Amino acid sequence: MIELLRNCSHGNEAMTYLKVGDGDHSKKIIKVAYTLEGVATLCSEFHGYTWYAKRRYPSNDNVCLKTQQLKSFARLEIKYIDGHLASCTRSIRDNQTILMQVIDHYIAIWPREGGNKVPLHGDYSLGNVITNDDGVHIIDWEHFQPTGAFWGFDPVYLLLENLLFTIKKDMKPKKGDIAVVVKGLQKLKSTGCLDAAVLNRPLEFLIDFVHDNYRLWGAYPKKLPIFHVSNKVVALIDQAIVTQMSH
Amino acid sequence: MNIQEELKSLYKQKDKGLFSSETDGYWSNLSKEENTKLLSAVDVLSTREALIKYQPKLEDVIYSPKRAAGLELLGLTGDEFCIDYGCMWGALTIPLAKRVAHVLGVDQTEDSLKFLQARAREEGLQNIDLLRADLRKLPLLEAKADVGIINGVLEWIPENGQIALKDYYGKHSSKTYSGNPQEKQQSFLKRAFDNLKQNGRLFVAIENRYDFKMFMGVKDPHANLMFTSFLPRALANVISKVKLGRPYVNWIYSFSGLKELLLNSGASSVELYMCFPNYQFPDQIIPLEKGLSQFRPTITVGDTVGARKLKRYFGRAVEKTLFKSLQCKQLSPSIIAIAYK
Repeated sequence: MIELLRNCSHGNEAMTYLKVGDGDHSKKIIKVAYTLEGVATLCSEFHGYTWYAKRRYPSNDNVCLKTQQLKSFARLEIKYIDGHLASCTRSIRDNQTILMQVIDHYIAIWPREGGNKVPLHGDYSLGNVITNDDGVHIIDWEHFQPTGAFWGFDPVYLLLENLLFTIKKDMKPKKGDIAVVVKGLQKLKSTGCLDAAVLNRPLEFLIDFVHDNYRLWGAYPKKLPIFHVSNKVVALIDQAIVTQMSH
Repeated sequence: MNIQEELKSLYKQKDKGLFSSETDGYWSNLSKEENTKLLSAVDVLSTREALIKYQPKLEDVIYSPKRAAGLELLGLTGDEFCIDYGCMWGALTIPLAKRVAHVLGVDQTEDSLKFLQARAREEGLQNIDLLRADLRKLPLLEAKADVGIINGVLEWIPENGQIALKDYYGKHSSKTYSGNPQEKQQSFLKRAFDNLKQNGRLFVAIENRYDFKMFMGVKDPHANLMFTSFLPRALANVISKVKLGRPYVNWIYSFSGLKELLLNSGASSVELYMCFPNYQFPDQIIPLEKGLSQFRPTITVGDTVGARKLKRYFGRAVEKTLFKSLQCKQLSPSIIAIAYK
C-alpha cells in the first residue's frame, strides 16, 4: 500500500510517499523526482542521509537507498522512523526539553574540526526531528551540503526559528523565551567550537550568512522564517539575547 | 513483433517515431489556429518558451512536476512498455518515459503530438513512439503493454466530433450521439485490457461523481453545469439538453461505480485511491481502504471552490469536517484506480 504524503511542497520538485509492505507491514519513505531540480534535491538528500547514517546508525547502512538515478529521474527509499514528530509551532518554552536534546544531538554527531566548513543540514527545524526510545533522529536532508556552514549554524537556526514562531503575533520576545535561546547558545558555547561573533548578534549573523551563501540552498531560501522579520525586530532580539548572555 | 514494427505495419509513418491513422479527430484546450501559432514558435524557441509566450496559462498543465505523482502507485521496475491513452502534450508521457523502457503515446490531435515530439527531443528521450488515432478504434495489438495510462480521458470517450475545449466547454452546441456513454467507455476499456500483458495494469484517473464540491454548487468539470455529475443520468441529460443543446455524455463515476466498470471491462482486481484536491495536481493520494486521520485540507486560492478568501476558508473548513472529522471518503474530489488484468 502506498500513499502520497507531499507533492512538491515548500518549493521543491520532489514527491514523498509512505509505502507499507503487504506482508510484514514494514514502512518506507519513498522520494521521487522527474526534473533536474528535483533530482538535485534528492541527490543532496541521499548524501545527507548517508553522511548522517554513518554517524547516527553505524551498524545499519541501509537507511537510504538510491534505487534509480538518471539525468532527470531519481528515486530514493528511506527507512521509516517510527516515533513522535516534534512541533516547531509550539512555544519555545514548551519545547525547551526537546530543543536541548536536539542541540546535544548536534554536538554529539557533528565533527568539531573544520571550523567554517562543517556539514550543513539547512533546515534543522523541530519539524524535521523525530524522537523515540532510541533518542533523536533528524530527517529531510534535502539541503545538505558536506562543507557548507560554520560549526553551530544548524542549532542556532533551530533556536531562533522556534523563537520567531513563538513571537510571531506581536514580535515582542518575553524574557522566558529569550532565556531558552540563551541556554541553548551557552550549551553550544561550552564546546568551544562556536564562533564568538555569532554570540554578539546571533540573528543578524544568521541572516547575513544565509544571504551571503544562499546558493547552498539551491535558490534563495525565501521560505526561511528568519527572512520575514524587520531589521528593528532583529536588533531587538539580538539585544535581548546579548543582554541576558552577559548576566 | 515489437511495437515499432507493428505500428509500421498498421499505420503511415509521418515522421521518426510519429505514426498516423486516417482519423481527422481533434480534441484540444486550444483552437486549431492557436495550436498552429504555438507549433510555429517551437521551431525557434524551446517548447516551454513557446508556451509561456503564447499560452502561459497552460504552463502548469503541461510542465508542473506535480502532475506525475500518481505514477508511483504503479510499482514500476523500469522494464515496462506503457501506452498513454489520450497523452495530449505529454504531461505524463514524458515523466513516464524517464523511468520505463518504452512508451507509446496515443492521441487524436496531431498538433499535440508534434508538441510532445519536440518535448521528447529536448529531454533527450528516444523511447517514445506517438500514434495519432481515435482511441475508440484502436486495434488489438500483438505487442502487449505492461501498463496503460488513462488520465482524465475516460469521461471524454463518449464524445464525438472535433472539440476545441474553450469553444465547447459550457457552450451551446446542438449535437446528437448514438449509444450509451457507459457502453462506449466499457468498449474502450475492454480494448485497453486486451492490449495488456497477463499481469498488466491500467492507471485510471478521473473526477469523483460525488465530489463534495459538486454538492456546494461547483459546476461539473466537463459540462460546466451545476449538479449534473451526481444527479440521475436521465435528469442530467434533460438539464444538458436544455442548457447546452446536447445530451450529458461525460459520465464520471463514484468509487464503487468505477470499480464495477473496470471489473466488467476485464480487470481481475482494482485498487482505489482518493486524491486531494484533484488528480491533476494531487497534494495527497490516500488508499480508499485507509482512514483519513492524516488528511490535510488542500483547497487553495484558485481552486474551483473560488479564489476569494472567504470561500477558501469556508472550503477548507468543509474539507476538514467532511474528511478529517466525519471520514466521508466517498466524497473525495478525485479517484485513481489501479486495475489489474
